[in-house]
Amino acid sequence: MPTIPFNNTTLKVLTGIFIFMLWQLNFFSIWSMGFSLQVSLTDSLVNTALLVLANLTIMQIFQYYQPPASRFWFTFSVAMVFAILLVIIAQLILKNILTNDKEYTIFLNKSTFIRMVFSMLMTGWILVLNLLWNMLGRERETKNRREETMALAREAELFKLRQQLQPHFLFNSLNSINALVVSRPQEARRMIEQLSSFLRATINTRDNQLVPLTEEMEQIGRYLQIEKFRFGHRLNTVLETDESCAHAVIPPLLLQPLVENAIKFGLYDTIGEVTIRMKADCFGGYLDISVSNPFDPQTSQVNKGTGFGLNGLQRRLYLLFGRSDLLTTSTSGNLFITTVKIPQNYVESNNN
Amino acid sequence: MLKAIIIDDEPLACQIVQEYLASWPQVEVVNICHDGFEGFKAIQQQKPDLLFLDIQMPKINGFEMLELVEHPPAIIFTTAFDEYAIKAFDHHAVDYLLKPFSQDRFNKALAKFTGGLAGQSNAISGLSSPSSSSLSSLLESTALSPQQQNRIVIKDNGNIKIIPIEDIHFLEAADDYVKVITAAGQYLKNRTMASLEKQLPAQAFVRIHRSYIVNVREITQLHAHDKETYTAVLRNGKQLPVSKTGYPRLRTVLGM
Repeated sequence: MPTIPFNNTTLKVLTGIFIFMLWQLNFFSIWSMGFSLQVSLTDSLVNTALLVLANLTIMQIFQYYQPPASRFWFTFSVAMVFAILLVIIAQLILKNILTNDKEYTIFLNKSTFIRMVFSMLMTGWILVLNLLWNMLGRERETKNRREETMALAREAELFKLRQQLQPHFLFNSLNSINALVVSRPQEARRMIEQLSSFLRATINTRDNQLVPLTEEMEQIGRYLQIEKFRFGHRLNTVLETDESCAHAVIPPLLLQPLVENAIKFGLYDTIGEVTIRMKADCFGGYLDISVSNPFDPQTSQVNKGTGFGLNGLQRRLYLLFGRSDLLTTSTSGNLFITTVKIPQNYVESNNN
Repeated sequence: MLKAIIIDDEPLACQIVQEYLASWPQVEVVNICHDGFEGFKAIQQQKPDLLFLDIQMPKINGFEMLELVEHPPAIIFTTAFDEYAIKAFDHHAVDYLLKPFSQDRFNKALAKFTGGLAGQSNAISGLSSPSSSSLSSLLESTALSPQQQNRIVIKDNGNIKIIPIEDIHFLEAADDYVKVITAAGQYLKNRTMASLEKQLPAQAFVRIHRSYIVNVREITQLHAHDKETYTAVLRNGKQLPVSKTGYPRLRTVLGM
């Protein structure tokens, strides 16, 4: 935590220059009054050394104890007393070193007041600077913490959005396995494998990195396999990936809710066979994925927003890319089409 | 012999119920249905004693299907994970089975059912066969799924009709039923005015009178008779009375 300005090289240099000029000021003012070089040097060095020492002490104290703003005047008064004591100590030392210069002793006594004022000014200034510095440090710390909290919250929200539609799917899949175990044990085993690799991929993904489209398509393949076990008698799927998408990337697990939504919508809104069609195309720096499912225009109100499970997807795209125009829906006859655009030249660091 | 019907859109889910039922020789599966339409028809024709009913199904869900059945049999719900209704089952269904369920758990549900049949006069009987009133309170206390909120399901000469709520002009009380008037015609629904008033979105439907709930978008004019009674004129020319208590409600929704 930056309590002492000296931690910073620039500040160290600046402070060094400041101390040097302070000493110069002290030295030349005495020198110009006609005192000898030895006297001028001794006086100015003792004064400057004491002042530096005193201020280092203040800073050192502040590193361990930061006076609250309400106690500012108390702290200030203590510092002032300290400054006066400093001058008295300096006088004593100087009187003992330079005993044989009468003229200087008189000057020393005469200049006590101005020395005290000067010392108080210096100490007060360093004190205020330190307080300000500490305050800034605290503020920066709070800001960091707030940002960290927000990042964590966002992470948690993203996690929740990824997980959103799992339980229903999971329990129904387990129920199907339960049914297969006795009648068709080989298939039960295959379904367990599919479900396991699907879940493993779900758990292992991290939101802040984009994955190749091919990888995501594999995951969708697993998902569809499982859904076919459940709804095989009604569910057909067609997946098409254009060659231009060989290097396309996509946030992990983004497609699954899209497909899940299409399947649910298709299966629950119509009776009979359902074909879910998914197409990936790449152009103009975007990966364009559209999923279509049949629906019944007579009984559904598809115009009402995105409906079903797409709100979570919308939110996730917003959290990831800061845009809310990436998910669109449309209808064509009895087909409901959901389209997602993924910016391909998106720089990860925008996100942080 | 007790007759049972299994209604679930997943064949494997039906299969497991059948398999578990093998150890209950007194129960015979007379039909297996994969959606609410089939289910409704089968119930009408075969009058089963027991239903195994999934909730999420194509077109209409399990609850909506039940609304259409006049004297529903005993029901055991089978569902994976229900966001909407689990609590409501507690009091009204024979039992509910959360998928995947074991043979033991299944047997317990069946024992509840058969036990309830054996002692119909004692307290358990309330469990076994929900009376119409307890069933309708189940249907009314159940939270609605998003789809359910924008449609109502109606029986029309043995056919099932799904009506998007925008198509409704108004509802009129008719004894134990509610008459639903749309552009295409009118239908009877066996629900109470109060429960439908609760189901329909309050910003679009207003109870303007003890006997009327109106779709506010259909209103073209309001005529004042005297200080306190008004008549609402609908787009199709129909005039509906607005009561003393209904008028302020209408004003609020219309933002007058």
